[in-house]
Parts: sequence; C-alpha cells; structure tokens
Amino acid sequence: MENSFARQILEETPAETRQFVRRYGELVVRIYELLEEKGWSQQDLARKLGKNPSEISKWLTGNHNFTLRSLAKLEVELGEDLIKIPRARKFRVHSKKVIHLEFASSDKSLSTNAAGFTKWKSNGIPSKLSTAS
Amino acid sequence: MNSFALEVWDDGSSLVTFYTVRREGSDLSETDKFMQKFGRHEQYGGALQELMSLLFDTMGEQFGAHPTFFSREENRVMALPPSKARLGHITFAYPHFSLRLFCYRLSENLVILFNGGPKTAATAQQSEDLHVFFIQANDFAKRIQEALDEGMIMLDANGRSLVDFQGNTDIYF
Repeated sequence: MENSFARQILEETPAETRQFVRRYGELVVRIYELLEEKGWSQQDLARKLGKNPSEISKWLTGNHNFTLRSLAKLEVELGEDLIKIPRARKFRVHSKKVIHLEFASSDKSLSTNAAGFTKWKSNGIPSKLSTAS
Repeated sequence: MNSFALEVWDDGSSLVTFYTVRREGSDLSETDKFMQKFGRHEQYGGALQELMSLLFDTMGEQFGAHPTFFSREENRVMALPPSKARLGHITFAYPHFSLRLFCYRLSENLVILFNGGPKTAATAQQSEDLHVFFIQANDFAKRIQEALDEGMIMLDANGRSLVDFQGNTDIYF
C-alpha cells in the first residue's frame, strides 16, 4: 500500500531536487563505506590531507560546500573515485582518407615550386602523379 | 499516553517499509498530520519534497534505511533528515534543512515515522514547535520498544513488517 499523498508530493518534486538528494545519498554512503573499509577516523583523514581536524569537520558538517577541488583531495586520500563522470562517446578515428595534390607545371619534372594548382583530389591514391604537358 | 495503532504508512518501495502511528479516535496518522501541514507549504514545501525523495528514492530504492541517513539518536528517537548523520566517526550534514521528521529505525528495512516540524533552534528540544513532537515520539518509541522486548510484537522473517504474538498485522497499544 502506497501513501497516495506522499507519493503525489514525490511526483511533484522537481527532477533537479531528486537528483540532488540521490547524489547526496550516494556521496555520503560512499565516503562512509571507504572510511569503514580503511578503519579511519576523521582525525586520520585530516592528518592524511594535511589539514586541521576542525577544517575537515567543516568540510563534513555542512559549513563547507564541497568543491570539485575538495572532492578531488578526498578522492586522492581515500584512493577511490567518489564521482564518476561518463564520457558522452568513445573517441572515434574517422575513415582513412588520403588527400593529395595534383599540380601542373610547364616543367616536366616534379617540383614543390611547380606553378599552378589545378585541383584537389580527395579520394584514393593515384597510380602516378599527373603533370600538365 | 492514549491508545494508538501501529500501521503501515507506505510499503511501495523495494527496500523499506515505512510504518506510522495513529492515535485512537484520529482519522489521520501522526505522519499524515505532518504531511497535511507541510505538503505544498509555501515555506516548507520544498523541504518536504526533499524529504520524500530521501525516503522513497534514496532509502526506498537505493540504499535501504542506512544509518548514515539518520541523525544521532537522542533518547530513542531519530530525526530525519540528518543534521549531523553519523559516518563512522565522522559527522556529515544535510545542509540547510529546515524540517525534522522524527522516526524510529528498527532495521535497514523498517522505519517507523512519527510527526515533526520546523527546526528553529540548534536542537530539537530547543525548537518550540518541535519539542512537543520530540516528546511524543519518544513516548511512542518507548512503548514500541517495550513490546518488542517482551515479544508482544516482532519483525517477520524478511524484516519488512511487524506482527503481534498471534501473527496479526493490525497492532494496537
């Protein structure tokens, strides 16, 4: 049996609020688990971070908003990621495409100084370089 | 204290059953009174939404009634959400939260919710509007704990519901 009024309030809750609560819960539980695993106290963590215990206490008691930098310090000392950010997509190498130049010169010999570009060719490697005669 | 019933408030979550208490002769449970008072409230409506998300999303679907989400135990009753929830030896604040809902956590899967109100001072006892609910919640919790200790009520095998010594799910005090 669901409490209809309470569930209605939940449904009316902005997605941003629910995301904040969800992330807050995940962060708190993660830190809790890591400290438990390591058997660390607040003082232990402060010592490892080179901070005064009262400063760490501020971090963890709402007198300090977590910044990316403070989270990064925690992650380094705890030896685990607290926040994972997925990449949108894998880096993809585009299909192989060779671009080469054909150019014309009154001189039959090929030269980088040859005058007069005739066109760009973007697909395939030519069997031989063409030159204007 | 008057007679009261211990009844399911919401068991629609995957991980936690939320119970509440209803006084004899009252149509509303204590938690429903809290909801009626602060649901869509101009000042506290947003805080109540966060609280519902904490109950149903975070506890109900993600983690269960993890001790981290409860404030330190004062007498028997805990307040939701935590002002300084225990994190091993570390405390962690739920920032700027203006409402307190008193509750009694029996297990990772079962929490009894009472009434609550705005926290206007450093402690629940010092908050004028909150103090009366704190006292009431402690009385309810004391009666419930005594019944558990005497075997008059007990958690069922899956830890998600309470039954009396005869196996009844309707529980009266």
